[in-house]
Amino acid sequence: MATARIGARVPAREEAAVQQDKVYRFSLASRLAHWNHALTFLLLLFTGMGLVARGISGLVGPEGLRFFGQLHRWAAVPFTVLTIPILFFGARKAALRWINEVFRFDRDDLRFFPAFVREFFGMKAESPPQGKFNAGEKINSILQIIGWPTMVITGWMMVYKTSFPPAVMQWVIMVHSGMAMLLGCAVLGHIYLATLMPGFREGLSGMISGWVPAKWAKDHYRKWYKEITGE
Amino acid sequence: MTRYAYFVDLSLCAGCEACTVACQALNGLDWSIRYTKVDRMLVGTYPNVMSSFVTTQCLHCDDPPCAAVCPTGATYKTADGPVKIEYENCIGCEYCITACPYEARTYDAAAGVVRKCSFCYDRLQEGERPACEQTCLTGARLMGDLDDPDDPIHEKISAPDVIHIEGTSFYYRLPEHIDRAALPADFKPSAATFAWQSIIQPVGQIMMGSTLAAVLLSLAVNAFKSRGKEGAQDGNS
Repeated sequence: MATARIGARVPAREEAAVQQDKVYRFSLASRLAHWNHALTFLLLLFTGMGLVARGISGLVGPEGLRFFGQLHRWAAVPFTVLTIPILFFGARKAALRWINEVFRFDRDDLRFFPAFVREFFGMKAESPPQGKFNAGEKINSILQIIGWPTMVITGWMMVYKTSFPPAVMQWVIMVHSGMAMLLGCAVLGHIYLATLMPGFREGLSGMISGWVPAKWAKDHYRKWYKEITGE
Repeated sequence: MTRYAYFVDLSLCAGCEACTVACQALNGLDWSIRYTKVDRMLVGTYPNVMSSFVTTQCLHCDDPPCAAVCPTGATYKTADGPVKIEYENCIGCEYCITACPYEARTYDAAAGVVRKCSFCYDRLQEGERPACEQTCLTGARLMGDLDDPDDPIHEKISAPDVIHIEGTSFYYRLPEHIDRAALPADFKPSAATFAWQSIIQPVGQIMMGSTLAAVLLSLAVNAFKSRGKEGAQDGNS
């Protein structure tokens, strides 16, 4: 078990805080950015699905869909404007590290996927040591880093659809709709892993209080754990 | 069966715009919204200038992309040809405006719906004729039923100089000095709209469904496993 090398009651940096049985994973700003992105995205996904899938729109009805359309545009505002400033002013260093790290895949990251699939369906698997973000989280992060600007740009173009040539808008709508469903797949998996899946759900506290169990961190993020504790 | 079509003889059109106004009056439209438009074409240089007019409106495509992209089914192709909008089902998303190859649709900001020519479908149902056709002073417009062999439209559209806008319900005859390019182009399906409706949408929905299925399977497997382990040990590492 980790010895409490640093007495971190109010940890200022994500990388450094270790307590008796837990380690600090995400600062307040990182968590706020995550939850702003997550909650607005979920609202956008839910309201947006009705606007393209006829099965859903039939259930909601035209009045409901008009309301969905309004909600979709309002949710787009915090989705667009809040996340980046929160990261910039509150967690610049951690965000830069995140961006830097999630695009790099080493041998252990690649070996993560087969082990993950086995574990996901309840088979025995030895997961290779991971950095601060496991390879699955890296994929999810890349999807968000590419998906967020794609959705923001195409989405706001769609608010002003008639200001652009129809031929351009036809492609824009296709990209918006396709990316939404790709991100929808990612979020389904992400929510399941974070809330229900044994071995992964222990990490949810990292996005709530910021702290995760030290033993779990050591087991699942061996390289990161070594980096912050020296063990 | 009935298959409505529309013939416009532009060599007779005087550009008076009575069709535009009759349509606006009938449909109670704001003057800025025109279901049928009249554009003036000038050919040649002064003093040898020829002027004529091209009228355009919804061409009531055979396979209308506006109906394909409509999320509520408010826009649909009727069995007898005209493409119609049920305004109470329109949510104003404007996908149809983007999908329409002929700029036949207008967003009515006051009502929050998209509007266009309906071929006067409701009037047709009552045995009446389209307002634009009825009001045309020069007799340039003629609506007819292609499935009725006695309909006078057959005589008009069988003339060799009549141009059918392929993939639509419209036929035009041009004055001699105006060429085909002045008319709406033949209908061509859009690659983007096809990709969106026939590839991205179904594939995306299958992907989301598969993800959900994988999650449910994982949930079931792991629930089963933890039940099996109950009593044997408390926590697993």
